[in-house]
Amino acid sequence: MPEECLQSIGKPSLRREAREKVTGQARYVFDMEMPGMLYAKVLHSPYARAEIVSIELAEAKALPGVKAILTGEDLPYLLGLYMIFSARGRSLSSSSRGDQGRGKNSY
Amino acid sequence: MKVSLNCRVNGEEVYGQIDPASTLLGFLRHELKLFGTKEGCGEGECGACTIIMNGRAVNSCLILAVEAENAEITTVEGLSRGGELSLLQREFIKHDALQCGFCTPGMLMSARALLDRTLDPTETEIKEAIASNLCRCTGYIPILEAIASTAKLEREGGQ
Repeated sequence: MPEECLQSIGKPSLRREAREKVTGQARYVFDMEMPGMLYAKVLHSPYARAEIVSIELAEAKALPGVKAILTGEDLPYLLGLYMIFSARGRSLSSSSRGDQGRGKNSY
Repeated sequence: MKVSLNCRVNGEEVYGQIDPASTLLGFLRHELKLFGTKEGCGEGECGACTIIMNGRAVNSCLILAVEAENAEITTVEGLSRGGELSLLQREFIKHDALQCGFCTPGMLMSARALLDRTLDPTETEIKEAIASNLCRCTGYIPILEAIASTAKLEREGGQ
């Protein structure tokens, strides 16, 4: 194809949303505030690989204002964009996030 | 208990009744609704919350709001006036120095503080100025180029 026919290839293109991003107007999920919005906090395991024997929730549930506590038991499926498996067939990487909060914890 | 706070933000006098334990970042975002300043790590590692306070680029997540009494503060919202982008902002766009944009407000404020100090920074000085701002997507080269280019254009009288 002759070069003069190319509309985009080889030419710089301006980022459409750049203006919002350099002025601070771009809204991220973290910037959203809604009436009655709840806040969540993730508690990570202090160990990269460990067996979860039990999770003690009573004290946390009793805190004023706490609406819900979710653990791996509430989310019994895999999370993450990619499925990556080691040679032994054990799931690794983000797909293993589904293991968090129940059974074995493997980052 | 609430305490009062008076300071200037982006050229405007502001007044607030704040929790003494709230951070300056929290005050800017939740009281003044200036969501341009980001919270990345909340512990002074990432630089997403960088603002200019009394002429210095600082992590607003590490400063208590009460420490800003009588301070002169500039956030990313204060970089452009009347809808017109500043030279620094235009150079960031031109050099494609942003992708997701989450680090951009902090990068811009660190760069602005540097250029307010000197319009003839060395490459090392530019690197040092954004050393505490982490970017996870663009990479730093276009950002360094945008800042160097802004310095040159501002030296030549550009705004």
